[in-house]
Amino acid sequence: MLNVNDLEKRWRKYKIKSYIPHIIIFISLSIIFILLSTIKNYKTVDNSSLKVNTESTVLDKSEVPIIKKESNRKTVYSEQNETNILITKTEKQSENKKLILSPSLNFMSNIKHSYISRYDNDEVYVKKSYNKPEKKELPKQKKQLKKSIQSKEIPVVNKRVERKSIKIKRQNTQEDISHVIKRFKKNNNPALSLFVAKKYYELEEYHKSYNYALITNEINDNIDASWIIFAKSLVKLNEKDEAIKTLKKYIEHSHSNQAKILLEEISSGKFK
Amino acid sequence: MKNNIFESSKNVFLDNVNVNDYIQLDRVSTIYQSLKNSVKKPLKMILLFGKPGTGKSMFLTKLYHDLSSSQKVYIYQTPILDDSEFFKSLAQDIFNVNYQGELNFTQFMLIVKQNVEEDTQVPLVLLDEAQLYSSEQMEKIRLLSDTRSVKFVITLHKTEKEDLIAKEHFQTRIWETIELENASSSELKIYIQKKLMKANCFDSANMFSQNPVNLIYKLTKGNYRDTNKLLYTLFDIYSWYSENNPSNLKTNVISKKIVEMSAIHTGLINA
Repeated sequence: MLNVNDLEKRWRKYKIKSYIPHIIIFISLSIIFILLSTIKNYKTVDNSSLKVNTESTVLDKSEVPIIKKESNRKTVYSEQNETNILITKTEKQSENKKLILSPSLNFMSNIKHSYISRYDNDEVYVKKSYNKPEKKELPKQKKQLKKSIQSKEIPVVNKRVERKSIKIKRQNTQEDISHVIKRFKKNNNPALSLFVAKKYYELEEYHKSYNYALITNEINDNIDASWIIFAKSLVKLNEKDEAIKTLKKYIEHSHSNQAKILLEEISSGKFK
Repeated sequence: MKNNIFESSKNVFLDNVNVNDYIQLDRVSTIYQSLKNSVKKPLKMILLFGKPGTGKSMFLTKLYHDLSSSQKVYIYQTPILDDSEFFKSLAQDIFNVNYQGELNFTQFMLIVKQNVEEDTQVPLVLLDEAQLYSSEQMEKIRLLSDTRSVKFVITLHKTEKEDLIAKEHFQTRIWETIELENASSSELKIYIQKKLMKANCFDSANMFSQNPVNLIYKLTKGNYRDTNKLLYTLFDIYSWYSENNPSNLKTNVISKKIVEMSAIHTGLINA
């Protein structure tokens, strides 16, 4: 006599058993897919992590200090500003301006976003990374500098850099540059960013040339050409004093002849 | 009412050899015709072989049924394993000699010589399940067929006595070998439907669309015996459901679940 209830139970067990291989295959495929995507993401992050790690402050549009000639604003003395240049800015901006190269644990989370955004802000005129060579200075020097800054009454130098409205014309050079920028974003080669800086300089887009020279310096701060473009761009942006100060620091650090020549030219007013 | 349909459908698939249950399939009927033709030829022995459940016994029964009216034909569906009993049965059936005591092969051959009449039709002996006979018995059957006094049609399983068939001296004497195979999927569908329709179970026959038949074929590999067993259980389960849980029973098509349940019950699925 048939025991259909028992048979139904056995049938249910059999069905469950027969689905197990399908479930295993599905789960395995899902795991493989997740692993692959994770590895891919990890590789992308890994490629950019070294470079980005050196940037304590990211050149984000919101964080970039813009020099404006507004005497009513609160003035903040730059700690290391030997030449008594005062940079006007908001309080928030002054906080951001401190260059502290401490490793950030948060960078992993926003690394990709911030890294990309850095290149998207070509037009922004950034004014702080020229302090980079200074980090190699001796602590004694720093102390002296501090004292001198505090003891003196520093005249306020308000400088305004008018943002040029850049008209992008469809030219071969522009296309070349955008192509090189793409390549640079992929492999972060300082030679490419330097090329871009030079090209922008030639095109008289000094904000951009300044920015790319700065980026090049961050990647490799021993390239003469990038410091020279950097200083030249500053001069063109009516930041002659900044340019002189930066070049001096660079010369102290590197003893570059080219930099010395440029410094002389700028100082004598030969280079305008 | 439905329950009766399932009950009668179930009985269609009872595993018994009944010549009335013989289902005419194209391939099978061709083979059967060639067997019938072989019987008419002056052959000494005809070998019918195939895997268990391919319809050998049914073939033999059908042959017996068809020929019994026209010629002397004797069927032994169960092998007689004792030599003496086997020859005594043959002597009794073929020559109507009731031998008392032990009858050995030599004595039987004498009986054959004494009783064979020339110009009369050679009697046909059909031996089912011949793989159960011993090698010695098979050799004696061969010697007997060599005298052309008796013609044998034997069926045996393909695998079990392959070595016996392979023996050259035996092979030469089997002048005709006919192999039976499992049904194909489409043949199985025709087989099931014809069988049900023969018993006037038209509703049940209509339930067998190609999909459930394919599943049945997958489970039974087209073996007639396994199919009969499976379908017997299947209709048994259908009967149970129609009695106990009729609301969940779909009667328009054979349920995959019930086919699988039947296969589990009959051991075709190891669950």
